[in-house]
Amino acid sequence: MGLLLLVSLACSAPREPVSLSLLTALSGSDAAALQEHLNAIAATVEPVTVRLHTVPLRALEDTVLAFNPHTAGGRWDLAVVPTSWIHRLHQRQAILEVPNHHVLSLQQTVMPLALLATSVQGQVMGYPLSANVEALVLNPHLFPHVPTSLAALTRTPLPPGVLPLGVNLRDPAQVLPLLASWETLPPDATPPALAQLLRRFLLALQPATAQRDLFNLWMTSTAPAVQAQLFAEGRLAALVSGPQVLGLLETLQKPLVVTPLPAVCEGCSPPKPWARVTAVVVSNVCPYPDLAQQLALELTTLERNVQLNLAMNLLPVAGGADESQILAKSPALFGFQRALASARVLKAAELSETWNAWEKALALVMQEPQQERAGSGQRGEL
Amino acid sequence: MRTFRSSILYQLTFSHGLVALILSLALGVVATSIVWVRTRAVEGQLLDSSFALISDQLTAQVRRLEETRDGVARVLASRPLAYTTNDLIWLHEIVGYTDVDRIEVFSDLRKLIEAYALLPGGSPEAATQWLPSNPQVAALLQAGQPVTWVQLREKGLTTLKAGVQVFKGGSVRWYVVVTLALQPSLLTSVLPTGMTGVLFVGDRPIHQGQQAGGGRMAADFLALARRETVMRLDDDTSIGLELTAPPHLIHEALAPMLQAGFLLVLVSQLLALLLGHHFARRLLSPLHDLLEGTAAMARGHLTVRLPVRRQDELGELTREFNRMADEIRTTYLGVIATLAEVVEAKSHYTREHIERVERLTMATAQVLEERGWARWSSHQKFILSVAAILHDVGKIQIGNDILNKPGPLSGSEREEILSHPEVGATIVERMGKLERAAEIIRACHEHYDGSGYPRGLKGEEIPLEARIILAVDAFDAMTQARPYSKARALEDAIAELRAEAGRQFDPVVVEALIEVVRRGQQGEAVGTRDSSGFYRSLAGHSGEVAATPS
Repeated sequence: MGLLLLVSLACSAPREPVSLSLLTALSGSDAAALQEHLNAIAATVEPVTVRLHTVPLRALEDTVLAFNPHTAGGRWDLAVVPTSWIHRLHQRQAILEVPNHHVLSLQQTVMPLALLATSVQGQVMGYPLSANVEALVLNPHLFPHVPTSLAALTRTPLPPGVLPLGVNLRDPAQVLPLLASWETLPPDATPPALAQLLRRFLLALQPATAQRDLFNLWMTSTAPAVQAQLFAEGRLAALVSGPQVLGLLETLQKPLVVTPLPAVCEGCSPPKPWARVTAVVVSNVCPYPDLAQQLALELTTLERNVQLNLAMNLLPVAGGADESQILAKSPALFGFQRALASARVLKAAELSETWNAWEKALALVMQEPQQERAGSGQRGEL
Repeated sequence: MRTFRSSILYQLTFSHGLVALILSLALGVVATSIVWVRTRAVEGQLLDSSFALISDQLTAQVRRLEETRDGVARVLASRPLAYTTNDLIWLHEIVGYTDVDRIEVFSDLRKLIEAYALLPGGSPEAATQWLPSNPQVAALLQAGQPVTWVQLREKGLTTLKAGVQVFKGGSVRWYVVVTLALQPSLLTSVLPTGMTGVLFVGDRPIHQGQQAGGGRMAADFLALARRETVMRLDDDTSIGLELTAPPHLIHEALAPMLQAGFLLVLVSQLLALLLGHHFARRLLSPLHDLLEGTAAMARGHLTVRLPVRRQDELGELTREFNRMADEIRTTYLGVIATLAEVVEAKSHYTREHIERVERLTMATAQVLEERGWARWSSHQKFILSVAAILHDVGKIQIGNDILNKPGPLSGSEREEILSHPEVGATIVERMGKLERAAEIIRACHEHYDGSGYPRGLKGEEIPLEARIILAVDAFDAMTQARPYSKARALEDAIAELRAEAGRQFDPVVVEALIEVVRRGQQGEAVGTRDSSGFYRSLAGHSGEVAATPS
């Protein structure tokens, strides 16, 4: 028997699996889900090994954007990046353009918004993978009807100790669409102008925003986790969030309703949220570009894209995303899908400038005395 | 019945192949063992480094957990804490900053506040099963000792926990518990390509990870596996790790070796068989000659003589065979010579007549061969010579009165004369191995047109050798003087031969004989090679007839 096994060993063709490295900021179960799907694809395509290298987002940005294809230092083959980086990667000639026959496939399978997000000057430079969009998550026990505006929401009577709304002020993707729909935002808004706008916004949502605890809650760097915990414990009535909170809330089996962001005030135009799309890009120096691009394309197929994004609590980008499948798995995710339908993609340059201006505006508002900002607040026991 | 498998050639070739196979297999086993041992060493080093890496990571995680626990405990010793938004934010910022998954503060048996990351810290399975569920841990905590332990759920999340009592003064006892989930990424992030790892808490496997790239290979069963305890916690729980080296290591090391080995065995076998066959054939060729020579002797080929090509035992054997064959041939030839002498004495023939008949017979046969009308082997020529010499040996039985009677013969006398070919054939047959010569002698008086005796054969029914001897005997009788008749002129004899061609003689034989005679007139020797006077040599008993088996 041993001899037979040795013979089979000797007769088995020596395999030389192609190895590709994929950089991503996804971690934990998200990275595990991506790895699982890549392994499944690799098993059907070629004898290829895709090794995931999980790094923090900042490190990913440094690695990917600092990558020089001509020196090929710190080589990577594929990377999962926000589409807002694609413009710079394209300028540095660090990534490969998606071949035409793949573009034709993407046009049939991927939603136009996601394809637009990966395009630079008419060239498709990446394979859309996931989308993220902000929506309003409500406790249906506290809101029998979905409020028509944030102002109405904050005026809804709530049990004592329950905060009305969670917003992450540090994330312009949450706040700026609200501000822009409330008052027209000039394209070259300066930090003082943005700070002024934010002050008026806070005043418009009085008296809720007058609570010091609520303002601290909106300003903390860990706002998503704190607000999700408070919501899960019934101490927060609603929050503006992306789909990443669904993992926790659905694990805890908390009742919730997800709806697109409402207008700030009655009669205001509804906000147009920002769609944040991530994509898989292929390095310009990848030794197996065809293989890498084929792997990336396979991630955009309908069923795989839906399954992968359901596992990661993100939104599929497959154009015909199976609504019944999403609904069966996560009705709340379907609410985010609806929000995505009305979203817009911000151009990279616009995003960068806005981000910088917003951080400065926030700093201006934070420097003001509490009384000036929102009147006197009470320290609230939960 | 000798088959190829029972032949010495097969046995020698097979033994060559077998020896080569054993040698190449032994060489392969030694080489494979060396590669195996060296690959095992590489696998061992890889496992050692992976054990060290995962152990370091686990230790670092535990240290971070304990540092977070101690830091939070120090702050809480002097800080009031309530279940307020601000305190929750404060705790969350610690969670976010330290990357732990959950922080819980207990006041005796009551949970005062907790903060957790979205997942996995927010999972209910990450919540601490408090003191009553952990009597050992509770005892240590209540004794004021910092404790680190593992919380193992039946199905699901396994978490590392670090707890400590916070001294708040008075009788109030607070406890801080910090939680970190044991994620599968602990394994997959550090395992080298193709390595498989299983993380154990106690004897229970909690995570299994394989770094993609190893695949399923035929060598999976050969890969080195080892299990070690990498950490022991305060509740006496051990965290163990079982690692299996990437199968491609042993595969990549062994497969080329085995493939080369199989190729080596194949080539060496082929060479061994070819060379073994070649040498065996060289060694055995004298034996084959001997075998064939013996068989030829048994068939009556008395002229067999084998070339001696070697100086070894087989060469000696060949020489002995030749000596034996010479003795047998000499014995035969002696008998033939004796019979020939008896015939000479009985029928007043001269030795010269027998010599001429034999010589002319062989010369005529050579002319027929030159014209492409017949072909004889050396043995057949030997038989022809014997038949020519003994063609009238049957006359031994006829009385001299009849044989030398000058007047006409009576009926019975004539019968007796006509029977002498049969008698001669019988005599020669009894000598053994000369059946063909007997057959020729029996037909030596058959005429071409069927008018001869004893059986009245005609044309091609008569052996060619008999037709030749008949014509030559008649020609010699006509051209030589006898006591009772004068010799006829050569041209008369030739005319007589031609006149009888198609009647008494075979026309083709007559023409061949006439050509022999003509060549003789022109001084051209015929039959210098094969018809050199065999009888003459017999008379002297001095010559050896060399021939190879044909």
